[in-house]
Amino acid sequence: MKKWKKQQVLCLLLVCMVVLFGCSRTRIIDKLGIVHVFGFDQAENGELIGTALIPDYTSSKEGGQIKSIEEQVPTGGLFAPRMSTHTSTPIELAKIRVVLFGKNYAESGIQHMIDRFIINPQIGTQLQIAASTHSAKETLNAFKQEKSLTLAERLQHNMERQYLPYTNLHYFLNHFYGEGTDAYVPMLTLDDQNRVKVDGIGVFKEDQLKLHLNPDQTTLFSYVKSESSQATYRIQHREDEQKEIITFRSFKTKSNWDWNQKEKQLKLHLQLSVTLTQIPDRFDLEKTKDTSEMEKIVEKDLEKGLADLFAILQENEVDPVGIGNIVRSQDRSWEEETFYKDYASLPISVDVNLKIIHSGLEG
Amino acid sequence: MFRKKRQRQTKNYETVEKSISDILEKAKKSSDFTTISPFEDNSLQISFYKTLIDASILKESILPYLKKETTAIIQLSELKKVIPIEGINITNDLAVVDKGLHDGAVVIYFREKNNEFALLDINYPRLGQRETNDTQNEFSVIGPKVGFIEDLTTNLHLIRNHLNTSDLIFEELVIDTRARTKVTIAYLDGVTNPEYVNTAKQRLEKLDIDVSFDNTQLEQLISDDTSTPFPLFISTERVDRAVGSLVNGQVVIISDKSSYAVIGPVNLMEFFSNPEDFYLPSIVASFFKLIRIFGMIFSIFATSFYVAILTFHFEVIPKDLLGPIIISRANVPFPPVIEVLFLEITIDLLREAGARLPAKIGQTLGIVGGIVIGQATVEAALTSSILLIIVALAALSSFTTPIYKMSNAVRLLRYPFILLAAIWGGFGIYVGVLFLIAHLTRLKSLGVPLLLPLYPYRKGGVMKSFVTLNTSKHDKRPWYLRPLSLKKFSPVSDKDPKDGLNHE
Repeated sequence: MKKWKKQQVLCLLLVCMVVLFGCSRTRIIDKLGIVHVFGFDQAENGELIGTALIPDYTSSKEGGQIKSIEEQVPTGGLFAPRMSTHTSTPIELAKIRVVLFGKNYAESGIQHMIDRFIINPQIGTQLQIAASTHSAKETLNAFKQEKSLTLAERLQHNMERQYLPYTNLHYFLNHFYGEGTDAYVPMLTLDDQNRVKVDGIGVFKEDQLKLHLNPDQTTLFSYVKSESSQATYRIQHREDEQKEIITFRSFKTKSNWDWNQKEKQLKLHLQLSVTLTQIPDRFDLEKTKDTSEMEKIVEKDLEKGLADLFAILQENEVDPVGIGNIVRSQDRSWEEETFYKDYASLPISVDVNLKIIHSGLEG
Repeated sequence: MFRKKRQRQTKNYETVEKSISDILEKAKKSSDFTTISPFEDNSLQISFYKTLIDASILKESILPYLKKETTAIIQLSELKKVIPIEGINITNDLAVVDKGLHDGAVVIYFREKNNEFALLDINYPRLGQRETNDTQNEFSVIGPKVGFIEDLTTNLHLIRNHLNTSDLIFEELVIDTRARTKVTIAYLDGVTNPEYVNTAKQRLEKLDIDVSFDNTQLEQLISDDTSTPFPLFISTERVDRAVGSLVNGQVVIISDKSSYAVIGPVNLMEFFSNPEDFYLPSIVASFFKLIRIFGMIFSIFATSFYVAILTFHFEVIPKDLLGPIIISRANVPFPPVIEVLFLEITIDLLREAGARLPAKIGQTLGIVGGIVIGQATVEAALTSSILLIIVALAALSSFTTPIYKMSNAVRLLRYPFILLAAIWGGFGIYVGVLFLIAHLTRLKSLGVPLLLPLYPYRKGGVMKSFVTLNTSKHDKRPWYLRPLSLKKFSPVSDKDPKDGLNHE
């Protein structure tokens, strides 16, 4: 008798567990609209326009079918329900790989949307966040024409092997909310054949896109910002009579900052190990003299370029390098407000130390 | 209450014969019972079951000598002088006669004097037994391939021959009430903890069963927990495995008419080791053992994770895998659970059919199962091709477990996990793992916890249960089995001569 009671209790417990926990809704993988890229634009009346690219694997064996859905909504929370009215499967945001901000929207402020990214547990911080020089809708429609889903890879390999500084949502949030630094995102643009290409970085001031750095400036920026940048840089030497072009690819960079507390001066020591990929014929790098001359030319050019870069950043009062943070690490009495009041006039001097590790390899 | 029980134990299920004529009358009903009288006056009778005796001994060593002494035999005791056979037993106990007849003895008696019988034991237990004793089901590439057969004396011989020590004790018990199967408990005196021997002996003695068909059935009858899918004893047909566990201080139970030796007490990780592990270099052997453990885990969880991920957690699939999985599932009309259950049951049907089919048709089954069913289900869009790979791998890895009973348990376990995954996803698998661990920790083998070196934790045993050590480092018995002596051997560490041709 007692044993039966025990079993009954166990059965009841199991039934309860099934009924109570079993309410979780199934999301069967082939019956979902999995958003791949999401773009945000600002409509003229202040509402948001969302563009989602959803790969449609099920319609054909080969895949490659991409569906794009646009919807204008008053607030971000309504995107999923409104978009679902267009689709035969529920919209799932969990696998978003790239979030793209159109130019208008990025310039008018993205604070509200970034706050939503933080509270949404479905979204991973590995995703790429980017801004476009056109509207997100235009960019994504151009990307859809390419029939590929490789936007995230296009950004990522440019970060790992080319001139973009490494970033993703995790880094972005750190820069966005952190003190003494401003957020930056990779910029996308459309070339004359209407293809999507990576074009430098965009720098935010608070939550508004303020400055667009071109690829050359971005390269210099990556040298300072990321230690393992493999960006290629081009130097035009002797512009007067015949042009001489030097290109090199960095291998390892190390930047040391010296903060002079008394004179309020900042000095950057940049150590750069590079591979020379193209040099004028008159240099023979087997000779020490030519090597040191080459180093001098490049160092000088880089110092000038970096000084110009800092001038531009200071002029626009943006701080993607995180100078505020660097000073804070060496100055106990640092305060954000007072520091950025004088930020534009902060003297920053640059000292580049170049090391040629090898040369002659094209590529 | 106690009295009732005791009565039941002594109760005899067989009919009891009162007199010798009853015995003979009853035996004559069987066509294989023969009574011959070597002399014309019919005074001396020889009765036997011709299916149990060695007919050649009867013809060559009994009948000729009897015929020579035509008239001399008046007393049965004279037979001892006449017949050159040992084991002549003269008795007047009817029960002994009855038993002797069924053990393959020849009964010689005078027709007139029904109070004395001579029993000549000329049984032939190997009659009808196979001669080949290759290991059929526990194969290994390296190592002896001798296995047990269905005859007790042969099996005992194999063990005694391999482990030639006076410490090796065979204790014989007769367990069945009807078939009177002989069961032998083997252990090493001074090594095996006597508690295990006593436990095993007590459980066997308390058995009340009419016919025991196989040792594996006995194993379940004396098992600590009968409602578990896990085996609590290792049943092996390999002689080296049986001898190895004897040396380690375990008890081996061998019974007549069974080609399996039962080893106890055991722990869970022993089910994943193989005698071959000790014939290979320890790094290789450890790798293989880890592969087997991985295979077991993969086999249990692969398909349930497939169900959980495809039904609830698509987020964890890498982006590059998302396309192929969705494309392969695009035309499948079922939810993942049905799809998985369909394939899993198909594989189990194939396995069961493969085990039951006559050997000659077995090859056809491979073609039917492998090509037709596998290929056709995918083409007919009943399952996805990715699932087919996962299920096939899981089935393959379940067969890596060396002990067949364990691999069956592993095969069975995946079904509850698939169902749990279908109801609750990853959480369900988690709940299932908790239940599984709770169940495993409760299991015991001859009173010893099954998860022994892992739980209850015994220091130093954890590493040993996952990797196989060097033979020279294997000099101690597993102390958690509480053997009476711990040290097995002490190898010389430096085996090189200090001066020699190649010593530099």
